Amino acid sequence: MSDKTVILECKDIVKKFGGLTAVNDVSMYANKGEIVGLIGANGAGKTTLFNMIAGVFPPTSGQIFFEGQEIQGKKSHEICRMGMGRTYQIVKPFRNLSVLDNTVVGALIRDSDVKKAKKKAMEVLSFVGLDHRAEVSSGNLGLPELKRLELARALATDPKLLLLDEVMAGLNPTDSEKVIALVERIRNELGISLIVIEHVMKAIMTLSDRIYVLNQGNLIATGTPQEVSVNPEVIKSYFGEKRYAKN
Amino acid sequence: MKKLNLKSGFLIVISVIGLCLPLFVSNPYTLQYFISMLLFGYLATSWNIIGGYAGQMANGNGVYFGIGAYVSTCLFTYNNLSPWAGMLIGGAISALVALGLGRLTFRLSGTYFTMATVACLHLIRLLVMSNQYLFGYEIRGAQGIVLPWKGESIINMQFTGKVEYYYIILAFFVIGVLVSYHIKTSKDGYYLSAINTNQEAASSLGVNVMHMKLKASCISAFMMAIGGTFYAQLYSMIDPSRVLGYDLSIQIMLYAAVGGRGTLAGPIIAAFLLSPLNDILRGTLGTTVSGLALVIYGLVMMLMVYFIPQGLWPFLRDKLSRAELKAQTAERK
Ligand SMILES: Nc1ncnc2c1ncn2[C@@H]1O[C@H](COP(=O)(O)OP(=O)(O)O)[C@@H](O)[C@H]1O
Ligand SMILES: [Mg+2]
Repeated sequence: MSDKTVILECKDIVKKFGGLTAVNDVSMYANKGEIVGLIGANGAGKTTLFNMIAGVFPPTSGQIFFEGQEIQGKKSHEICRMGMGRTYQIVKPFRNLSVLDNTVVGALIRDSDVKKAKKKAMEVLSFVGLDHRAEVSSGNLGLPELKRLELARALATDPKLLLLDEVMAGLNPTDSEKVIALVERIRNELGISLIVIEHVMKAIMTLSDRIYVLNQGNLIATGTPQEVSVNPEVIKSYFGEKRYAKN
Repeated sequence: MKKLNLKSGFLIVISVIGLCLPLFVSNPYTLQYFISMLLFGYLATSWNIIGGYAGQMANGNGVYFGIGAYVSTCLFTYNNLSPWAGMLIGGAISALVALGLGRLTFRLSGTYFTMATVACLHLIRLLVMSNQYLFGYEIRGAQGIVLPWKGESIINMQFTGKVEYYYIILAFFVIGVLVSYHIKTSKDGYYLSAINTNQEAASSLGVNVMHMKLKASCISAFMMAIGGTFYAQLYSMIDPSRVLGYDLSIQIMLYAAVGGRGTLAGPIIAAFLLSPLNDILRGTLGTTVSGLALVIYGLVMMLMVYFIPQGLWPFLRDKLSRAELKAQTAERK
């Protein structure tokens, strides 16, 4: 699957919030076509890392390369245009807009024509299984549907790389299964590379080609799911203290 | 399909009434009510682009009305420049001021932008009030400028009757509504309502938030300024407390809020209902009990905001679609 070209690379990323070092000297990469998992206890710095990659704020130091181009310090909308999409751990729907119009906002970046963007948005909505809810106001959706909407909006921007921040958090096992299948289809059918933050251990173990483990801002392990799951430091710091296996 | 016909039918009837109104209303005082309705409908529509669609509370946006009025009036009075050209210059200057204010404050939280527009309004009013001359033009401070009569003509935008003014503001109003409609239904409209609800999410979906806010603010400022020029030509006199007063800004904003911020029709409907109410109350009660008109007017506003906080138009639209649904289900039975 992966043709071994690097799509995203972070070099020695540091992020400090005042006295707190949220991300400490992290280096990581993702290949084209890969699903990379990012795990770690609450407050480990996963979302902060995503925010830097997606351009919400710049790293205190370090470099980020997207398809070989340096992107640290670029704005979110520029990075989106380059082909990176992201979802939010805390969903951020446009509550005044319908499900379809939410998705249209994403689609408009590739085609300024509203009609064409609507068509594209409908295709994306049927891909994620929300087409029957297209006309509903997003303010009336439940959490599982809101998570899908996050996915749909990001997909509508035609990303090459998608950053998913806990899209399964708060879902029951059945809904989680569906999202796992959906994420696999995103990679296999759409050819999009993914970096996935997840607390649901089973999900991350099934999905990921490789995993990075963060602990209090530090990268403590990396490797295949098997390698990571037997790493003593991971077991100690992650599995040992907090049991997320059952979410 | 049926709904579409109803809508276009309604629009046709309104257009015909609008176009033929001066044929039935010959009394200039009555026509004045309609001119004022259209002017406030136009201004509320202009405000709505930044305050409604983009959701940025531009509370002092009346400053652009004042800038427009003063710029075209100075150019007309002292340089003999036609107000039609003067209003474009006033519009451009207003848009530049809006650009500067936006650049300074849009990066910060929304409150700063609101305060900046209000501060700008007060600052410019004080500047105008306390100076006899500004940039070499005799503006006469608080006294204001009386526009010289240069002869009835379209070029001078000066007329002895009210009918011509009525048609000019009708044209401005229609253009304003078309601009607003175009923005709302195009990419810009989607982007602005995304910004309105969640800037961070909008940004991550490729929306250049800064650029869009600046664009909305400049368009709104330009349109307000043109309203200011019209006002100056209509009344042939301007002074800082009238065209740069905070109450005007608040009035425009309230129309948009009461009617339904961010909707196309809401601000217009509210302006059409409330501006004549204001005029009539002041006309009838103003002379008997001073202040009573304002009290009643304020009370009406308060009640509307209290009972239909979502705005008049969203409220009516909701009721209409529900009634329609009921009718449909009844038909099926
Ligand atoms: N904008 C911010 N300002 C200050 N501190 C922050 C900010 N964002 C995150 N943090 C802090 O950084 C640390 C990492 O947070 P986060 O990246 O959200 O962790 P995770 O997503 O792994 O649960 C936490 O201690 C959090 O409180
Ligand atoms: Mg997080």
